[in-house]
Amino acid sequence: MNISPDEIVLFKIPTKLFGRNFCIDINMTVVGTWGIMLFLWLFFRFVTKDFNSSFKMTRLQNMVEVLVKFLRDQVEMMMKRKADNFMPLIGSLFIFILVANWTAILPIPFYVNKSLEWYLPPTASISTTAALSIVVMSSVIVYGMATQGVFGYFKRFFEPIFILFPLNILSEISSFVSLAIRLYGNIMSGGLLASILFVLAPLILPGLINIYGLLAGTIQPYIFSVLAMVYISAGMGEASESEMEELMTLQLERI
Amino acid sequence: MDMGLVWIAVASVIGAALAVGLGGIGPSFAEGFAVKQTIAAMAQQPDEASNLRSTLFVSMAMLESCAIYALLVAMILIFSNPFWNYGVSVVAGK
Repeated sequence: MNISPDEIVLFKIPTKLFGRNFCIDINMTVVGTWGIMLFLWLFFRFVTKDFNSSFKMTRLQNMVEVLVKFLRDQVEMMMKRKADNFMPLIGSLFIFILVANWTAILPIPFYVNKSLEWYLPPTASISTTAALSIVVMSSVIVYGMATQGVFGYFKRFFEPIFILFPLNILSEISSFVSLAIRLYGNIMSGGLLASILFVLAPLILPGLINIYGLLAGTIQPYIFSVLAMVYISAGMGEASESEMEELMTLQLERI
Repeated sequence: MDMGLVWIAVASVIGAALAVGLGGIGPSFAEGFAVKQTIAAMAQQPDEASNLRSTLFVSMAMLESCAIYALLVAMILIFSNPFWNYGVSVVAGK
């Protein structure tokens, strides 16, 4: 029983780096991520091909607009800032994790070394979630330094008193570790539960557990992006008066 | 079979069971409390229901991550126990 898609190595690429021979393992995490990236790229190319602003829109355009509006409202509600700066990051995180979690129900067989392996979603591997969490962490630093300057950003770690500096650093790091482990644990435990129940009661229960896994897989990207927004806005400090007024006028214009 | 290995296996299984069992108590109580308070708030202020619901989801996921950590420790104890590999290497080296 495989519990991590990292362990399923589909093929190896021998390389030479700094005079040493390496083997780069192309495992199911990497292949799954490539597949999802390709799917998302093709899908959104296809959807945005015939966009129009009239009322006679295609169904797919309507669906994408609902998704974008939902994300935009969430960003503005959580961060109290204009959403344009954050939509590429938050939206990509949300859509990628959502699609990756939903692919968990796809029965795709792989033949690896003459044995049959089944597809596992890339978010069931801790390397994917750690990479996403590192993306969030670096964007917290970049956004924080861009708005407050380098010293203004690091001032946050010396509050309320400078003795607490190590504790502040520790809590910052542990928040990103927990961000990675939360997503990984939820998706991995859903798959593991399904495979254990498949041994015990193979007919009905695994399907029900997979439905629960779909629910968890729908909530988790929301949680991940909301927490990313919370961390980023905490790193950026309070929104200034002018930014608040700008946001208010924007929202009034939309009504 | 070596007695040391047996003891490692027994300790890991009992440790995993305790980790999930005890680690599930706290988060389940906390989640129940959070849901109870949110439902009471929703009944009092139905206008705020959507706001409360999104906050509830986020806080539930944060509470649930405690249980997930316990599950992770149990899984490490069962599936990739470092002491088990050490015990096997000691027994094989003898």
